[in-house]
Amino acid sequence: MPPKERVESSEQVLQAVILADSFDERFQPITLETARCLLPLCNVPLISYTFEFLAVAGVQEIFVFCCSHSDKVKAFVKQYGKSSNMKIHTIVSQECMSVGDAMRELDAKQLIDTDFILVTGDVVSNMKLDKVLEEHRARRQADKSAIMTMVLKKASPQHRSRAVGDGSLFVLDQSSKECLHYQPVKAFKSTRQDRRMTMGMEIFDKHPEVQIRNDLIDCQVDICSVEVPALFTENFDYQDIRADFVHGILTSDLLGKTIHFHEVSDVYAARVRSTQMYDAISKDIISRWTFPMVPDSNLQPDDCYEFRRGLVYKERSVVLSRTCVVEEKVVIGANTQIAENSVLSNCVIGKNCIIGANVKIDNAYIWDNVTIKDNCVVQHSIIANGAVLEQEVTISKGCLISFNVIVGANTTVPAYSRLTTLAEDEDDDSDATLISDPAVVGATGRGRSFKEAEVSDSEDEEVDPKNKLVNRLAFDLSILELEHQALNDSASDFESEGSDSEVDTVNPAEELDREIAQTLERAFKEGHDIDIAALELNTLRMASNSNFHEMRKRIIPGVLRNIDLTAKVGSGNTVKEVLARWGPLIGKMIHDEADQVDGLFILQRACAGLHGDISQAQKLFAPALRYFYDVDITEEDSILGWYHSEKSRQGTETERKLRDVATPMIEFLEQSSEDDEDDEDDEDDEDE
Amino acid sequence: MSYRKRVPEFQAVIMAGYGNGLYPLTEENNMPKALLPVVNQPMISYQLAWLESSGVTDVIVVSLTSGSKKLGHYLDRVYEGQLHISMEVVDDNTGTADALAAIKDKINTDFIVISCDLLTALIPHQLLDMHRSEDPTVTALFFEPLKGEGGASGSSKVKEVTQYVGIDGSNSQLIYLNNSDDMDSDEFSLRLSLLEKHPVMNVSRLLQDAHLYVFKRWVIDLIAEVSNKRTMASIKEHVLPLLVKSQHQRVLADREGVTKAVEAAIAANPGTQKLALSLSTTQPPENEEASAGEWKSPVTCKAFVLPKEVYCARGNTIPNYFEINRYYTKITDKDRNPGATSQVQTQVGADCLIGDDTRIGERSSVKKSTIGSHVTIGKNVKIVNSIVMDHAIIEDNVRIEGCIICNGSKVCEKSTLKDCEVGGGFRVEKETTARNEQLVDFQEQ
Repeated sequence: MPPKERVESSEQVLQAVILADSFDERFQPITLETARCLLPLCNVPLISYTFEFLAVAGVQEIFVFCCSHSDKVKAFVKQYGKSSNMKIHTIVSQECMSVGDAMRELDAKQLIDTDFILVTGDVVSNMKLDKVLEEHRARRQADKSAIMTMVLKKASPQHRSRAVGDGSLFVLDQSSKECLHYQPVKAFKSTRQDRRMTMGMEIFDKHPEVQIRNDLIDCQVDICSVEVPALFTENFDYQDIRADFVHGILTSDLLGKTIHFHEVSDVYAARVRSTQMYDAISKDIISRWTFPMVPDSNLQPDDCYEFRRGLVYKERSVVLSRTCVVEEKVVIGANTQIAENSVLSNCVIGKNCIIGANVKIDNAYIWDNVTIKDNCVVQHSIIANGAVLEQEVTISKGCLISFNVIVGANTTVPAYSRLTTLAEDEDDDSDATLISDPAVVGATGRGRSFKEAEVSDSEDEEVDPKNKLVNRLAFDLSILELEHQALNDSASDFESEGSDSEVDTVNPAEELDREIAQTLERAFKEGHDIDIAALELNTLRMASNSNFHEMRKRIIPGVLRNIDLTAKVGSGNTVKEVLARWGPLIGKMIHDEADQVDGLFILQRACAGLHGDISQAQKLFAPALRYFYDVDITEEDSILGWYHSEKSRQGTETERKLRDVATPMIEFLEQSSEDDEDDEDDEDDEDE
Repeated sequence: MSYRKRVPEFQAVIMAGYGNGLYPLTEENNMPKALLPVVNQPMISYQLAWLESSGVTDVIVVSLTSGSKKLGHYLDRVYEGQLHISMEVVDDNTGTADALAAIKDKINTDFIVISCDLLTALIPHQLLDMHRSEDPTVTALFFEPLKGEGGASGSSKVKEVTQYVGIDGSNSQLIYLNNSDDMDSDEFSLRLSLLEKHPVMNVSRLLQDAHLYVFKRWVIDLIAEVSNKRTMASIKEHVLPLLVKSQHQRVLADREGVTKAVEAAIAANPGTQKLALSLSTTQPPENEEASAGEWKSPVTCKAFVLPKEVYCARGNTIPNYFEINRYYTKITDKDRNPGATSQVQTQVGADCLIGDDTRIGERSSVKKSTIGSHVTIGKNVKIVNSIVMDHAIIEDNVRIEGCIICNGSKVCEKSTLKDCEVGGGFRVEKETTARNEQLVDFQEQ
């Protein structure tokens, strides 16, 4: 730690550190080929917004810390530095895997000798930092243990510039402006722990009045003192600045350091944390919430945007055909040509793009040098530099098309696809040749669909796959309902059974029927993994704003339908084989006891539905029940619960008989289990 | 011209409890809590005055059997205000909620419940207006107790249970209530779904329930209903937490019959809102939450947090009772020394109050104390920081500091008492020296 006398002098140069890397994989495959901070946001590289923000704050010296694609960042920074009065240095460290590593590196290099501003390379903000800095310095004068001031922006929990799934909860003391507790909030709260905010009782000893805030956007703009990097070095296991560092400091009795906050409300501040945020922030920029950082202020030297009615920004050199329609919220970069009858709305189009005739582009982000030929449709997707869409290509929502991908004519790219031209084996530096996947990009195309690295980052913590999904592009629309869905799912959907068909309008239900049937069919035919099939089905569930009950109602019969009672062993269609192969998929749709009982009702009904004759139906039902029990899809208690419920005795004759089929099993279960029924449910556990 | 019978907006219920925290002052031989003097006026007179200034006309005083005679006498004969007061007597050991259930049939409107030990400078309409405009199920008053001046505060120290109160920072909704003793000792935990609905939540452990509530009429039906099933003793500990939880927990609200009670109330009295809307040209407000398919709780609880500069205290413990007396003695505009029967060479401090017909002997001094009426104080007596109630006799050369001397008791000469409570009619023998003691007649109950 440097001597403290130096810290306090106010004549020092204001320094800032930009972490150019985000240490996550949300923009892959695009970020495999370029640095995250150089991605264009409304045709301006992300990091330019950060530079601009820091310049306004009066920063004189910036250290840009980069890891991956450092050469590209370096080149960009060099270019940018020429036209800026700030001193900008780049620090390259290839080994860094996290914010913690970067901070330790910073400490080792001893470049910082005063309080500094720590930001990530993807912050878009128009706030001024002078007040925060003043506050921070005053606090430091009074109390040396105040090591950090976080800048937090007020916004309601559903605000669109709030990253879904990256929420955070702060417990604050308004009188001392101290942050007392931090907790990240997931979008899908799968465990009891996720659903609760928990903090130590001892906080109340020192702070009798606290404020719990769930309406703050944390865009990770921090004023740090020089101790911060040093603390990272001392605690070498700290990785994330919030989950590890802030949490660690706040819960540590030994360090005796405090972290403070500064709340801002009338300014814009957000981070491009995910593709979903990329979408939201782009729209904010177009809608001028970020003023003065808007396209027509021409942040880049060569830009010359004009601002037109309907939030349309257009370079002078754009060539629009006479009949093309540019609706509202559109940015079009230099030298782009748009042919006859094309319709553009809510989109950003980069430089030198060629858009053919009859093209429909909605909600899409098309970067530089992209060619889109006639009759294409692009929805809610990102298309990176140099990509080519041949004629009649449809890009469904949520796609990321990486650099130079060519999608052949007459191809439909399904929703949420990620296409790249990089060869499969990325670890291997040898030029593995790309094998194009004609199923995805068409016969004449170039590219393959990109598979995310399988759970490599989750060795210590189980990441709910749903939480990865939510911050993706185009997921934002249904997200609100989703969250409530997730909360109510297991408990309430079962109760609503029976009446739901009247409540639901017919169309979405039918739509879901069809989609699930198709997905299952594809899964059966192509022999998908259970995990993949489950993921697809879950995606459907979210997209259709449905619940697990609805899914079970469709999937269980779907799987059973695949069984051929007359098939021979080895054909893959006998009861046993089908269940062994696809049973786990049913398991994925069943989570708790209510679900299990519900699943049994559905099974009962489905078996009876498929085979009206009891002798046939029981051949299906008995092994299925047995299987459910054996692999613990349903537990003893649920089977008993189902058996003894009134509902299982009702229904058609076959259904009732099926219940009797289960009688021997029930007897067996009842004998073997000693009833313990003291599990009275705690009222606090029941969510609404 | 015809006069219609005026329907009161609120009825008020004063809960005149026993005052466990005030032993031995509230023993049978002294007086019930409601009648304990604060600057020589019974405590209950303060709530009555408060209610009168709020515009309430009908008051029901619920008293326990013990003490009901004395209280009844006061209300009938002594009380001079304008309120129409009726008294209901319930058995000893009846909780506040049970007491409400017992007087169920007498309540026809929304009602105010106030404890007989609450003294506040709050202007009533501030609280009532919140209830009127926000139309919650219950509005409860919370205050931050002042730090006592410490020291001389009697012998019985009742430790108050710390209460954690969570209030929505944007609309004062009361969303969380918990007592420290029902919590896991070292963790404070909340459901995130609660924080999604109420993104700004202020949690305080300083705030205390003032035992002043404004309830909707139907709550009393609910209390009666639930108390049939199980004990629902106290408003603070049972009713209020149930209502607070019912705001968020559908299962609970349904199970405890909260939902049913509301529906019944609405069915019984459809109100004029719907009619007004149907006649109005304004668009009816969109029911956003219902349209989202979300469950909307029929209950809302509001907390009125008293501004710090407004005085509020509860005389429910001896230290608090002391503080209240001290405070009101300071601010009272009564004639501080009406009898003026003191001799030369006696000193009576400016922060004292002496009742009528009280005699103070030569060379005595009284400081920071409240002396009742008809008290006889001998020669060379020193009284500091104490409360002496009516008809007490204090003989010569007595030193009293930090004591409460109850009605009709006698302190014989040359005694020295510090931080003691002397029960009603008790005789302190001469030359007694006591410290931190409760001097009471032992009574076989």
